[in-house]
Amino acid sequence: MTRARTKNVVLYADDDADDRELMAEWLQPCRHLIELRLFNSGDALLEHLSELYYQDAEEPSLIVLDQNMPGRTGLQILESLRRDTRWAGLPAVLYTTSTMPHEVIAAERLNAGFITKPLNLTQRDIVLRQMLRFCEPALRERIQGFWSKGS
Amino acid sequence: MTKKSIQIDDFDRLSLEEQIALLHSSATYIGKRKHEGYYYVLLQLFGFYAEIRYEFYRVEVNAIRTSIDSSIIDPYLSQIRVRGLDDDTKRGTSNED
Repeated sequence: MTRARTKNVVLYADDDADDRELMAEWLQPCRHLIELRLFNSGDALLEHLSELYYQDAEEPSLIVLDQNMPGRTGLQILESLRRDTRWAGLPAVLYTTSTMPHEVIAAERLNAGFITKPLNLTQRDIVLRQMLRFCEPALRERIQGFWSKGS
Repeated sequence: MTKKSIQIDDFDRLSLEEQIALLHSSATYIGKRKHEGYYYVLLQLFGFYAEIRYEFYRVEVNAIRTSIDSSIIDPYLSQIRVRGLDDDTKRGTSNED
């Protein structure tokens, strides 16, 4: 079955409530383009994905996974995603405090981006642009268009 | 993908922006804590530790304190998880947020 892809649902799993709140705040200016859905674990995100599938809802335009979470890590969740034919092609990034080269390589092998969480606002802007590179193309164009207007 | 190391004295001589950039590209995250209205994030960079202080988390770095003394880890110990041990422990329990 060919499934239509929504242009603006982003799923983000992170056990750190502060980081979840920050992401919501940072994406607030794009709220008319992005519907951010937050999860405190990767398994909760996977469960939501399954619900979307059975509801025949549109697929997310980006999946963002923290690496260091209790239970399964972001990479382990990513492996589950890639093994499942329903989610194997979804755009995804590992969004993490880590700078470990082996994790960068592992993410690349799983066809996902690897982005280190920013330490300040200057880095935040760079990180959001890095994240944009991995978004579903139509959403990427819309956000770039929005940003280029200087809004 | 090797990383060029830096000594603590050399790090301390860098500008704050240079320190932040180096920590972002090369440091290992150890933990985060809140204390008296500030957020603190502890990182390890090669042979020393760097503790970032924020009034507003991940927005603006107020200060960076460096140390080679491992006692700087003490306030963070309760949240450090050792994978494997954590996996064993969590069976039958719910994950904390």
